[in-house]
Amino acid sequence: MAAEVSPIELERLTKYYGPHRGVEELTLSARRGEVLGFLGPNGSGKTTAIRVLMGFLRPTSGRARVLDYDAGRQSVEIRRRVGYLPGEVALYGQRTGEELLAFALRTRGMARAPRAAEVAGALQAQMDRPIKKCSRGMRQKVALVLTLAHDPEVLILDEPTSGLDPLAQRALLDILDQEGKRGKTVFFSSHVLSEAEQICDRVAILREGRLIALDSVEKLRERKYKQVTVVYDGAPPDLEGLGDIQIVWRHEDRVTFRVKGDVNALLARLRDHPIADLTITEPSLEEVFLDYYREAAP
Amino acid sequence: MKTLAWELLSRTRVGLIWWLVGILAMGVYVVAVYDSIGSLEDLRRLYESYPPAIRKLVGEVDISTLNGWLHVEFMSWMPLLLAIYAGIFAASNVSREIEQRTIDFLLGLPVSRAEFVISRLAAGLANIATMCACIFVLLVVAVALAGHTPAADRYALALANAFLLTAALFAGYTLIATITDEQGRVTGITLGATLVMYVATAALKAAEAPDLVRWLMPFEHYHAAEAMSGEGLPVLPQLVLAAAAVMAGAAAVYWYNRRDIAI
Repeated sequence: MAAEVSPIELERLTKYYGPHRGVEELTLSARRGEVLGFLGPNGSGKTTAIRVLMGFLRPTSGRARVLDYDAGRQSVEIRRRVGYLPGEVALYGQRTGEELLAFALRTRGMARAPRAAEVAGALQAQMDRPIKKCSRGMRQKVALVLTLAHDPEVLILDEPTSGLDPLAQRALLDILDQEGKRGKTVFFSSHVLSEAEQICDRVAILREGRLIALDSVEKLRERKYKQVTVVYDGAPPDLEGLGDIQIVWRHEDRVTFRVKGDVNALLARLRDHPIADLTITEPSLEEVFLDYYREAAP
Repeated sequence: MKTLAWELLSRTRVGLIWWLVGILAMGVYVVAVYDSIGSLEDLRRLYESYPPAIRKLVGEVDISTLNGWLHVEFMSWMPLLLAIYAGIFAASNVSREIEQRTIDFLLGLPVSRAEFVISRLAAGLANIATMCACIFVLLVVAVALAGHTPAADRYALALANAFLLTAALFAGYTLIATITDEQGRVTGITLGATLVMYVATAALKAAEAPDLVRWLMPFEHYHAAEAMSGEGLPVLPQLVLAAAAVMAGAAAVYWYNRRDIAI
């Protein structure tokens, strides 16, 4: 049986703008039904990779495929099957959302938009107002309706929550989560890590155009450290020779350790002294992200 | 492609109407004042006293006749006005799409880059053809209302020449707009180039430059003077203009297909 084709596939993708780096040797793939977060600070290459996938940019080397179509040569086929939201939404100001939707459907050869009403309702998008009279957040909502209206197989979204109020952000994350559960592939870039943490099956972390991590949020956390906070029953002992275990904070009877990997070694050391309370917390994605960045720093 | 072109035609409708209002007002004025000219003979002598370079640029016509008068005061300006419209149209509907980032919306749809450029070319040509058709109707109606016999065949030939010339210029301006992403810059380049080419055509004629050099100037291929005098239109320049329009349009499509759409 033939192996299932990845809805999104980047293979050693490199893009330079003259001497300036966009992305370098970027390899990753998204699975069907997966919500894949594409994380990195501004200038890390997220938008470049997305624009190559959509056929806006020609790769310097490597390849990009969406639903097994080559992003450079078959971008029209890709865009027929994909919902794309650009990083900075710009729509024709004199048109209403409804007019733009009708136009988008005509270019797709569709008579009706299967999901437009549902998405517009969930996001409370005003589709009957001229775009020039809409706030930035409302324009983003209209653009999201246009992106999702035709029920695409793959969603490629560049900073989709940008400009949205917290309620709309929540509604959008719920929609994207549902899209993943419906078997759609969602590939979205963000630098708001809590968003990715909430809905992503996996996250890819980009730094200076290179992929530095790609895994589930849980696995990334596991591979990183845990934070163990101990409240001693009395003064804490001298804790020397803990190896990989770091003391990150110490105050009166309370000590916080940072443990990489197995916590049993620390727990064994803690048994020698009476303990009033102990909590083990996993790092947030933000902490993991920052840690990756510190590690990767030259 | 048709959907894109229709959408653009609908968005540029108001601008087109205002251009037409201006050009038609100019046409009505030119027709209306003809009968109020006291001495047609003085007018003819005045025109003949103009520097040869200007007369060569405008065309050797008898300005004392209605058709000569219409040519000098109206038709000779037409390619300049249409070329300015063409430059603004190319800048506004090709370069501006990238500058304003609306290209991301358009090319996020199943639309190829070739379809995008061809839709711009088609909509622009449709607007220019609409202008030429309206000018034709205006001339026929205004001349008839002024109590003269309209020379409809001459107007049609002169306007067909104006259309072909503007089409060639528009395709060239569209090529410039596919290369340059800034609307302001493209507007400046195309308007400047239009004026330079217009003036250079006169200068080369006055200097009696070799034919090959003069033929490089698009306005050299405007023969409305002959059309309005009833001499007909030379065919070769029309073929040159049509070929130039096709080549520049094809180059615009080719270039836009190859380039990065970076924002």
